[in-house]
Amino acid sequence: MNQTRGDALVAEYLDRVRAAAVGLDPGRREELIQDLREHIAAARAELSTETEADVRAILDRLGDPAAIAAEAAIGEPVRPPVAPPPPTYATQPKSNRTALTVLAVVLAVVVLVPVALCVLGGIGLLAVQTGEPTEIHGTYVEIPLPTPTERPPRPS
Amino acid sequence: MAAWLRRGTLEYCVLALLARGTRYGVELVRDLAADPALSATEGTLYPLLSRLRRTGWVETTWRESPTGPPRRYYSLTEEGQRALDQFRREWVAFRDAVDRVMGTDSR
Repeated sequence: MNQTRGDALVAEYLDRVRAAAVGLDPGRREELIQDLREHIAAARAELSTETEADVRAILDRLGDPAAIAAEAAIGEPVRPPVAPPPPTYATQPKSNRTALTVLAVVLAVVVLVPVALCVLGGIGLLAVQTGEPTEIHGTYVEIPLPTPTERPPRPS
Repeated sequence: MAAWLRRGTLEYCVLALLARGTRYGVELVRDLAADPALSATEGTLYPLLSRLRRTGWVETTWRESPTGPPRRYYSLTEEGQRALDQFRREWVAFRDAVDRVMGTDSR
């Protein structure tokens, strides 16, 4: 085929990418164009005989210039996890921890104190209720208990 | 599939392909773009490769080609290999947890 037609298609395509990536840092944009140009040149070199359809197919597979530009616009490169956190986050965990400690103390007071009181009250009640007649006949007999009159007398 | 989820994972797919051996750029992007489920066109993979180069996870070398211009080959760096190893460990746990929540766990 007419080689210049293929070249023109490629040039037109790269212009569209360049236009779509206009917001990109110029160095980054040229790097992207260079990568695509290399790809196209290598892919065309693989063809034994090149047709216009072949070149169009190569460009189609590269995809929409706007999508490529959007991908290239994605912020910073992926950083290894060793990167230090920004200073605004440095104080965050500490204050969170303090808040958690305060919350824990408040919860302890609000929950544990009533629970402790209930337990103590329960023990007291048990102490009263376990004043069974059997114990009356035992060593604790001298303790005056209010219960015997409320309970059925035990057969002796 | 959310674009950010696909993109974040694709970077590690590139690393995984390169872990099997050095690849010629055109071949590499063709392999990845060939799977429609990854929904990446060949062109969108070049900015991704560029990010990986700048991060130091892949490096490139030029080699003469029997046909046409010299080719740029991509290979995994040691740092890239470590990043891939870590991703593999985290990915399995992450995938299993998501499967359990989604009810897509087939086991």
